[in-house]
Amino acid sequence: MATQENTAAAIDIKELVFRFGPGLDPVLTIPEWSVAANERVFLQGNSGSGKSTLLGLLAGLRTPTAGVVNILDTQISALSGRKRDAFRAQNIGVVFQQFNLIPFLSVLDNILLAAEFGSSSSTTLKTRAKELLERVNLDSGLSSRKAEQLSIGQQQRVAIVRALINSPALLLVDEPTSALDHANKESFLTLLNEVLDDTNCAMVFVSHDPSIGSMFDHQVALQDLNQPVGAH
Amino acid sequence: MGTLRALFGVAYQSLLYRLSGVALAIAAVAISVFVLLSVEHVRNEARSSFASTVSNVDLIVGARTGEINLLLLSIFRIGNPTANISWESVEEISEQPNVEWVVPISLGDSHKNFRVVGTSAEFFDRYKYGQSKPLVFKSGERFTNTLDVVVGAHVATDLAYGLGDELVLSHGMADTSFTHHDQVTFAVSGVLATTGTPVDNALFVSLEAIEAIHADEDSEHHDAHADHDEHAESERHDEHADHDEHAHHEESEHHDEHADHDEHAHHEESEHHDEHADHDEHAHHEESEHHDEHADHDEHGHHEESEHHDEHAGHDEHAHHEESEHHDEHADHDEHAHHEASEHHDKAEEHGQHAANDHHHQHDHPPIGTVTAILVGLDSAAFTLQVQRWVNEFADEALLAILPGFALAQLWSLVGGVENVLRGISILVFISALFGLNAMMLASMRERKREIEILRSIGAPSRFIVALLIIESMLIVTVGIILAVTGLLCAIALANNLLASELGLALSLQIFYPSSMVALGLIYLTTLILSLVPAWKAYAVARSYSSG
Repeated sequence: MATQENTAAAIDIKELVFRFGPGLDPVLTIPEWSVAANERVFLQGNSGSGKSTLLGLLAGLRTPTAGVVNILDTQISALSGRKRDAFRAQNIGVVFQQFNLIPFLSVLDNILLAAEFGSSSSTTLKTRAKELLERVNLDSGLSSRKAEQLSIGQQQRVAIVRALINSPALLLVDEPTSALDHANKESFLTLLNEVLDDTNCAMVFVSHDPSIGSMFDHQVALQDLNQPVGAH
Repeated sequence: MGTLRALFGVAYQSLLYRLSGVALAIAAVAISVFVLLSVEHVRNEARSSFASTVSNVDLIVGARTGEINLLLLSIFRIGNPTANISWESVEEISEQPNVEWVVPISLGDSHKNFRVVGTSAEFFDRYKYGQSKPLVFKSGERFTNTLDVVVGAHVATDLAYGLGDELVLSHGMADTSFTHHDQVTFAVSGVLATTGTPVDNALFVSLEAIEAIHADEDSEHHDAHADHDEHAESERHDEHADHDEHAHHEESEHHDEHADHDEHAHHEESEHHDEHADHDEHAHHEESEHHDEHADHDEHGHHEESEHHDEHAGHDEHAHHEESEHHDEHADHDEHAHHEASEHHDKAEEHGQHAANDHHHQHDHPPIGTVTAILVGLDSAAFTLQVQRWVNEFADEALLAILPGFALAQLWSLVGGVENVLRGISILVFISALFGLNAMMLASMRERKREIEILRSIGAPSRFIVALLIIESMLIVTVGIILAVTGLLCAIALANNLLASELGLALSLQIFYPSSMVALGLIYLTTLILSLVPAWKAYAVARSYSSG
């Protein structure tokens, strides 16, 4: 299924407004933004600029105060909570900056749990998980280790595998390299791009670090997207 | 299905991850459930063992008193008989149609703090306990002679009595008496096996033996005062022989005879009571100098039932100061009567002590020819109420018939307050354990916040997270319950091993009662409700994901 063609836009945002509470200033006001299928976008934003909030909205973990968030032609912002959870499990992979894995579950269980929520067919699941682990240069012997026993770099690679186990059409990555040193940072990004080459998965990569942006086709600054009221 | 497996898998791994906290929570739950189940078990066991203290007895008949008093007296042998049943009434009751058997019980004596029960040999056939379990002899057999005594299991172990051992049964507990060797000694003819009922703590003799004890005791008293009289000893034996035969009839007559020339109608008299009755007649002939003293006794020595009752009432009230008074008076008397003051003082003192001893022990034995209570068996339980009514309306004597089962239940309901207190405490212990569990779960929420975020990011629904928290609590409680049940079963097995002979009954391993099943159900329900607190908190975390 890795070669499935996504013709729909991965992300399509219109008139998005998000505020944390009534009466508060909106954190995000995005009149329009879209990411095409298979497109990989580097989204640069300073800390506190609302990057993580935007990712939460894209992942369907949050709902916008106003406006529309379409993911893969599905208006995720209009789905019920339960449907959003299912949609997220099946179509969106998420990688955080550091803590991605349930510490007390084994590497394999972390991956399989994600597959469980994504309702992936179970017959080939373990094989696929091991393939992916090898693809990110992790020894398959690690798969039975508890996640907390792995190094941060290893954990991040497992996180990629987990995010991709359900063959999502959109990968949301939130500063995954911030806990890595420079050398690991580069190799991680290279690996991520290589793995994504095998798939038809769009990616939004969020970081405050502009230096990483050079490795992406498209770069966007959140400040340019976000046009808070009064900014004009 | 897969989700459920995943749920339990994650919950299980999560608990292992927090093992130290979880282990403590499990221990707290296990201990509290153990307490809860133990209390419930002991309560039920106690109740059923209590209720089966006596079985196969349809009615207990005694002089009119409270139902519970009669039960306590006749079965538990607690309290003092306030009135008795005449032998004529006993016979009349036993001749009633529908009455299959009667077993008389005569109380009032004790041996080293154990009650002596005068009864018929039939007692050993008729008295049943538990589920109609008969009394079993560990060794020996029932009494056949007047001087045979059957001892309960606890009496046997406590006083180290075995078959053929001789023991002195007397009113005054003659173990310190210098006249010990003169007394009628009983031989242990049988030792009963443990029953877990008051039978274990009693000595059983025939009704004739009860009479013999009293006769003997009179002699003992006689001895105490008459041993300076060279003739006393030899005469005592004669007298003793007399007694067995003529005891009652002589007494009333004797009473009249001596009450006249006795001027001291003291309270002390009641204290001297029956025990002196029989022998006085004989004694005062030999010992004219003891006349006054014995006159006192005489006054006391009547055996008319009604008077006897009154006297006992007075007697109980005045018991204490009478003792000392009596002592003084007695000493005085001795001084007057004899010139060896010091020697007699000793004796008097001894006598005083003896009297005190008497008081301490139970000596409100029925006058000879009467019994304290009777156990009645009917041809059919269907006649119970009919016979009960007949007895209660018995014209010659004020009698009371009670249904043992009913009275036992009534008595238990009095004792029941304690069990409710225990129950209440165990419930509080359990609730505190649940609070501890909840506190542990809530305390872990901070570190779990991140786990919840991760679960949400991979598409875990909110209800998965709520369910996870609830299942973790449930698993903790379940493991706690399993440990508690296992522990309780082990404890019971151990207790049965160690205490079987002591308790006389094995605790049942059947520890699940409707009430404890309800308790376990409530435990789960309470756990569920309380676990909603951390679960709700987790849910809130899940909803407000990435708010930071």
